[in-house]
Amino acid sequence: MSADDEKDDVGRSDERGWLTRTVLPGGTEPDPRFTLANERTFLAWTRTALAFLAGGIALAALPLPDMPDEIKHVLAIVLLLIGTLLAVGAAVRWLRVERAMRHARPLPLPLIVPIMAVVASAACVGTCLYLLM
Amino acid sequence: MRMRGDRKPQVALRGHSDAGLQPERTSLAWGRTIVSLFVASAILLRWTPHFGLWIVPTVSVLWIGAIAVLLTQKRRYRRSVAGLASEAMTASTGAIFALTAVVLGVGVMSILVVAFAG
Repeated sequence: MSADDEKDDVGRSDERGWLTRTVLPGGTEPDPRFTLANERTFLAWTRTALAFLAGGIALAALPLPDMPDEIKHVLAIVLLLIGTLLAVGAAVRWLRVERAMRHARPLPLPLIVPIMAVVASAACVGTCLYLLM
Repeated sequence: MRMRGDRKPQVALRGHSDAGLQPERTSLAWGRTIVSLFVASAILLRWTPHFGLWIVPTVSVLWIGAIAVLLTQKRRYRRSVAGLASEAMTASTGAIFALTAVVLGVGVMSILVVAFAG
């Protein structure tokens, strides 16, 4: 543990661990505040993913007499799928932002924004149809 | 455990002068993530009557992930304090990929349980 701390405290690019060197090659260490902010954004998305997973699990687990089992299962799988994709997307986004910051490039556009807009719109339309039927 | 570690962190804590409280905010963000992992595992336990032992691997992965984050909290805080003090900090690639693997694994296992064991 103390050896790890010494290595981390220095923070020079040539002393980074194997994994970090592989996925974040080249460039220079950005401002530590940006590194930490990127980490917190990743964590916020991960919690969003976990919330989707918890929602999907709850839907599949709790008894809902008014909802047919097939629909319940499909909805649960959709929620679980969204949660899983968000978890992967959070890591990809973190990596892209970290790479951009290391090379002082502009930050990549968030791909998740159009996706979330489509998902939210689809949910609204779905709810409207459900209420009308 | 906390008592034992108290002597060493003091040195690093003294160097923290970040007005934006970045180490605290990041540490709290990890703390909220621990809670989220435990909440997901608690809801998973509702599956016990339906799916029985199928949920054990999923709950175990969540608990192992949550406890691992919990045990490394102090180390992570000291690391960010030191990083701010020296104005250079290595990204936490390992922790971030490990957490992603946990959530990804839980998601895939849950989908499989609902699709095939339900």
